[in-house]
Amino acid sequence: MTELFVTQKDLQKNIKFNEKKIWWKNFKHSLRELIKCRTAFIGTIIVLTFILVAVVAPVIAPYDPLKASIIKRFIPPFWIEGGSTTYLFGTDEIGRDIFSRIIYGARVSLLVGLITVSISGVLGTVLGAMAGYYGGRFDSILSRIADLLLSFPDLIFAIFLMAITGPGFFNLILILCFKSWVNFFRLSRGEMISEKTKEYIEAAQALGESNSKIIFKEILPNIIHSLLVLATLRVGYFIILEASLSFLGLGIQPPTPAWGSMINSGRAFMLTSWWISTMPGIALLVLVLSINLLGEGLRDILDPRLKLE
Amino acid sequence: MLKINNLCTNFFTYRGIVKAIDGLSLELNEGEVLGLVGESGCGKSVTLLSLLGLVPYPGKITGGEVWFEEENLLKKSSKEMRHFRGNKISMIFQDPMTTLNPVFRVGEQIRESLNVHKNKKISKNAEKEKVLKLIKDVGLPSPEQIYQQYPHQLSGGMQQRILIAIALSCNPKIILADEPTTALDVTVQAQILDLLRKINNDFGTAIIMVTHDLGVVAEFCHKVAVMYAGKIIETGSVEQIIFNPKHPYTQGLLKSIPRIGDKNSKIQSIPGDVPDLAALPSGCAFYPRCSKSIPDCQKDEILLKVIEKGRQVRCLLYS
Repeated sequence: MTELFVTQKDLQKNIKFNEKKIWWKNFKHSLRELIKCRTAFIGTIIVLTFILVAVVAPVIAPYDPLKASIIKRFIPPFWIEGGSTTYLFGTDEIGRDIFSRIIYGARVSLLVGLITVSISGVLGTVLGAMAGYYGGRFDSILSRIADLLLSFPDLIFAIFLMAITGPGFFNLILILCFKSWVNFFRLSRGEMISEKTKEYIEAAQALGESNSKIIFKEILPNIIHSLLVLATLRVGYFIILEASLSFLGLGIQPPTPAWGSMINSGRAFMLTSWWISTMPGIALLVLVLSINLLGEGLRDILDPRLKLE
Repeated sequence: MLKINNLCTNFFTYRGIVKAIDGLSLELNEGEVLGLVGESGCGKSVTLLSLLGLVPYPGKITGGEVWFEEENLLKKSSKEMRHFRGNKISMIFQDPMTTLNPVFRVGEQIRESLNVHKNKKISKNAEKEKVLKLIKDVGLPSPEQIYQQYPHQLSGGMQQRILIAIALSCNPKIILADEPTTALDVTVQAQILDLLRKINNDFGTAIIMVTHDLGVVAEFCHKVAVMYAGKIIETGSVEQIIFNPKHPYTQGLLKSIPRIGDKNSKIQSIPGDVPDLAALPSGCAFYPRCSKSIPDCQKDEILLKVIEKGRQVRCLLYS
């Protein structure tokens, strides 16, 4: 049995970890998985394109999105008679380039989606994790608040609050966060409850780890993948919600280009100049669909059991 | 080193108070291996959890003392208790497959256990070396490869070795082993027992081994305590218990071991069931199942009697 115990020297010879390499291998493997799953891959590409476009909007937008022109009103998209490639998606009722406005509108949509999800995601996850782990009065109070908030429809609730506070970018984000942490709270609480009964938690306690360490370092990494999937899907949901509010005139205010308000402004000309509403509508559809596809793909990839050895 | 005095742990359920441990007293000296034997539900695991102050809700330690190195563990706050868990007293669990966190590499998990109780900073490389040495110590080949693997990539036996490495990481004085070999097949069982014996020999770590496998006890332990319905009914050295059992329950347990090659005789069993801990009969809890019972058994609480040096029995037959 003496060969079981080795000297320090032997060990030093044996140390050749390369953690970076492993990490890179895993990353490549995940990427391969992503490409293998066609729909998720397409979704990712489109989402990334939208993000890129939003970031470099001033560079690629052919025109100023706010510049109106009386003469150039109602120019149709380039593939329809009367349209030209100078205005790819045509112009709207006061002569602004729709293509440029869609590009700038992507900024608003993505910003609202991402900021809201970050704030409400972190808040909901932390509260849910603590409620699920500790239970007791803390949990029941928070859960009742969550139930109360869930009993209101999202849109009606947002309209109500927006009407009180008045429209604006920060008000919008605040109001979306006010209710949406509940979804993260419930998921993280439920996962925490099912996870905390497992034996490895008992083992961690027997090892003398503190509660906060167990919550955030032992359990959270185990439930983070389902939360990430929810977060991805929620980005799409918030983009829709923001567009709905803007459509109703309660969200982002004109003349700032936002897809919702663009759809609304074209409503009156639906029969004659359908592209004013349709183009931003298609952009919205494609972006949200891609985000959902990405979320579905993430769910498969984030499973640690699929990782490379 | 460890002295348990009259420990009581009750579970407060809707059906009533379940006395999972009822007045348990034990003593464990340095470097000793104690086997805690009994059938399912007799309070073996709860005893271990009580020592660490980890009795799950709705359980509560209602009385007694646990002396460890001149300190009463039951008087400690939960924060002070953390200092003992894993550091001075560590635990090995029954099912290695579920005891490791599935999303971390095993090397990181061992390193984590080093970090929990360290008081001074050591460099990352030194930590890694220590982890590798631990992996080597528990008899696993190619530690640098195992370091990088996830728990599901290891076999049950290897996972149990990793758990032992984690338990060893802070050089504990006592290892509490809660049926460490139950989930493993027999050849692996023997290896794990060898490893534990080696740890006991080389590091002088005392071990409390909870098991219902008398084969494990005979092979591995120095002392044995037999439990029934939350009470210790017989203690003694392994030789005394295995070759000369006194309590009818211990005798029954030993008779119910199947012998290989013995085709003709049926396996003997102890008739009846473990009594309901929420509604224990008066007197001896084993009375309804005992073949040697006398009417007096039902009368009063039967006390643990010393019949030889280091040998106690809780039975009227020997009073």
